[in-house]
Amino acid sequence: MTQRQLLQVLEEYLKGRMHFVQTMSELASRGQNMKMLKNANVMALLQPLMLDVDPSVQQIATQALGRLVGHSEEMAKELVQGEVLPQIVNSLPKHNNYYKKAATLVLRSVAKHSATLAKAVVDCGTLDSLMICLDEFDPGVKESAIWVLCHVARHNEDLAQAVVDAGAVPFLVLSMQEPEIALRRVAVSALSDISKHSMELAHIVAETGTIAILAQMILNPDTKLKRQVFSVLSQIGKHSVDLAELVVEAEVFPTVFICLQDPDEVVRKNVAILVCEIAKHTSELSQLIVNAGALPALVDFIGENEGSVRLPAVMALGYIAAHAETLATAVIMSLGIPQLTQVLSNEAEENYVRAATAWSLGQIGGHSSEHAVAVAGENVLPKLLQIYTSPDSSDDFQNKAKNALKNILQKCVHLPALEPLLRDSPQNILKHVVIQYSKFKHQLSPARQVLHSHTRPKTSSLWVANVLELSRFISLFLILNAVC
Amino acid sequence: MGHNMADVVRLRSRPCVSGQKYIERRRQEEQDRRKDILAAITIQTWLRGLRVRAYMRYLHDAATTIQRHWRGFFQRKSFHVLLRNALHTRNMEFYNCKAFNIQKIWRGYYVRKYVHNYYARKIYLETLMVANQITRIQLKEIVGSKACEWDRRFRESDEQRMDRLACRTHYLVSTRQIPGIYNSPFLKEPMDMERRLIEARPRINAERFLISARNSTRDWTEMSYQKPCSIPHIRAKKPQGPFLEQSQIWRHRLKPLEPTLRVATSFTSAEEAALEQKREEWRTRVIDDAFLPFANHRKNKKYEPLLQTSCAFGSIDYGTHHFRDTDTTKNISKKPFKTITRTIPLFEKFGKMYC
Repeated sequence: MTQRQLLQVLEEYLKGRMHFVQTMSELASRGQNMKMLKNANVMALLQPLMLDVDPSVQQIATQALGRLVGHSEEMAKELVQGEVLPQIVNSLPKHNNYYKKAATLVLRSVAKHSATLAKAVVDCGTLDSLMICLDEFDPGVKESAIWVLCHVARHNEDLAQAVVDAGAVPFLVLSMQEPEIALRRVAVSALSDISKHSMELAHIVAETGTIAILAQMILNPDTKLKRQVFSVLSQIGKHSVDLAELVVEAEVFPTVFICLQDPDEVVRKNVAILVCEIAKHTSELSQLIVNAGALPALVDFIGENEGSVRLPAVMALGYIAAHAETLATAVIMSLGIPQLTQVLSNEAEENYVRAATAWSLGQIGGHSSEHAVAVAGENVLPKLLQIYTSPDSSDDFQNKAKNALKNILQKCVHLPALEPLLRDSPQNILKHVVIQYSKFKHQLSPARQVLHSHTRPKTSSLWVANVLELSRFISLFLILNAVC
Repeated sequence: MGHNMADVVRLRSRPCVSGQKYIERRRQEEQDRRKDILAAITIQTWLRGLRVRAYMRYLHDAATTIQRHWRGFFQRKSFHVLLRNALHTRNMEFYNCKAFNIQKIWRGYYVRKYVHNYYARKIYLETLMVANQITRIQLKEIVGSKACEWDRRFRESDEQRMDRLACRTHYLVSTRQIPGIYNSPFLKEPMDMERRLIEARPRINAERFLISARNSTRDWTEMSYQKPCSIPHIRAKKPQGPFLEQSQIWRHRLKPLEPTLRVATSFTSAEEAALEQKREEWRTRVIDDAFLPFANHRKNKKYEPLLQTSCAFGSIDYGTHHFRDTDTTKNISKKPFKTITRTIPLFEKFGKMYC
């Protein structure tokens, strides 16, 4: 054979490989073809092509593999077992940008499925190579590298710690300030994934002056960036009081309420989560938030939204009211209770949202008799009772309703509100209602009429002996004394 | 006696004395002697008594005088001490009263200002409501202006999406022979998509590259945040003399109150804490029945006495309609028995009139 023929054959072989790899890449980008490709055992064919001589074949093969692995976990496990990853990782610094993007796509697809796979990726020494990638100028490469870090750090604390130990955080902070939006998004989401696990990690993230930069990004028009920014801020703020104070000091607060009315649902939810996490810690922080005008924003938010988006706002109101009596009064005066009642009575709501509402109402009403009267005035008590006694509420929901009822009843001295509870309540709730009535034994006429009408059918001694122990019996006895 | 024979002889030799009268006189004298002796004894006794009593009295007076003088002297010495002590106690009572007053005023002030300031709370809640209103209005404005922008961007993105769709499905354009799906003969004019399809032009590779570059837009909308530089203070004339530094003085003046833990704890903190614990226990308690050990659980069953035996009034008579029912059919008269008498008006005036 002459040289020309040899070259021709080689060219055909190259074309064949290119064609194969490109088709695989396109097919792998669609999820429907996965089963077919798996059955055809395409991975085994693509793996040796990743170490091909020709760089473009290499790149496209890696890309195809990345897309394949991204769709199914078993293929990722196969890839890890085939021990191809160390080779990819080692060759990462040496090749050009396209290869880097493709290789990081593979790593990312493997790492996103589960913690063990991510650990396997880290064990191959990925993090060091990624640091080298982060030094590049091309924003696309940086973005892919940061995306890998994102997926790795998402799973658990050790992996996030490994990412931080590799020195990723300063790079991330710098990337956040780059002009490219996609890079910023990914950098912020990586920070969010790192800081969500533990307090030390959140501290490390917050130390580097990140919060001030994030605070400036709040009013950025890009939606996805805003989602990530609020997510980071809430992850940082949730761990401890100092971190929450840091977040508040960055003067996010009045501006954050603008984003409570953003058109995007995820942004609104993340903002509500941020407010909730910060209000949770201490009463001073709650006071700060309330002074910045949280209450009208939260109440309007609850009124305008539906479903699980409302949950963090409802819990935020509950936490604010729980800390101090003044704040609970402020919540009541900002017309929070009608909104909460509406959430409670709206049957279409998820049960956990209604449970959170019941809890919040209990916190608001539990401070003093005026609060209890304000809560009871909206006809809340019969609803809570209904939830407690209905058999199809979950255990958690019933518990919360019971606690809320107990809290409010201990302080409620408004007789017309207690009246509907006398009829159908179970014994442990009835005991509290009766004790509240016993405080009114001096006021004969209203108590007399009510009790006369309600206890007459039930004055068998059996009922009395069943309901109360001797010490409680005395209070009922005193009522009956006063009544008759 | 003293009567000896010489006297007898002398007496016998006197002519005038007769024997009988002499004997009579002698007898009489014998009888009187006893009386005289007794009388003399009596007189002597009395006299001795007088003398002794006078002596005793004298001694008593002397002793009294000595004691009087001594007591006066001694008491006058300790009087000063007594006076000082009495003065001291009076002073202490006075100071205690003043101290109580100060403490009373301070406690009232402290509680009203730092523990529960009613007026501050009232003002706070009122201002909070006003601030909430203002916040609502401001939010509305800002969101209103943003809403226009969001709307615009949404519409733009929508437009771009439709244009790209038109580019991809350019073959659906209607021709002369075959009207396309967007150009129904039943409609007066073709749909908007038709216009887009006609205006769609094929994209070349360079444009495609540019589009992908435009997607990762550079975001120049943010200027870097610069802190406004603070203007330096106007230097006033330095005050004369070796005074304390201004900063020190202001720090001292504006030092916030740092009450000790003892002052800052409320008086009822122990009771409040107990109450709070009780409430929490009551609230979170899941099981309401007391836990009885089950080793002797047969014996541990609580005895529940009858209602009739456990209350003071005992069982009600058969036939009563309700508790404390009284049967008036057996009463003598229909009117209820009066247990109260009318008042006597005279007695009302006791102690009130001057008489």
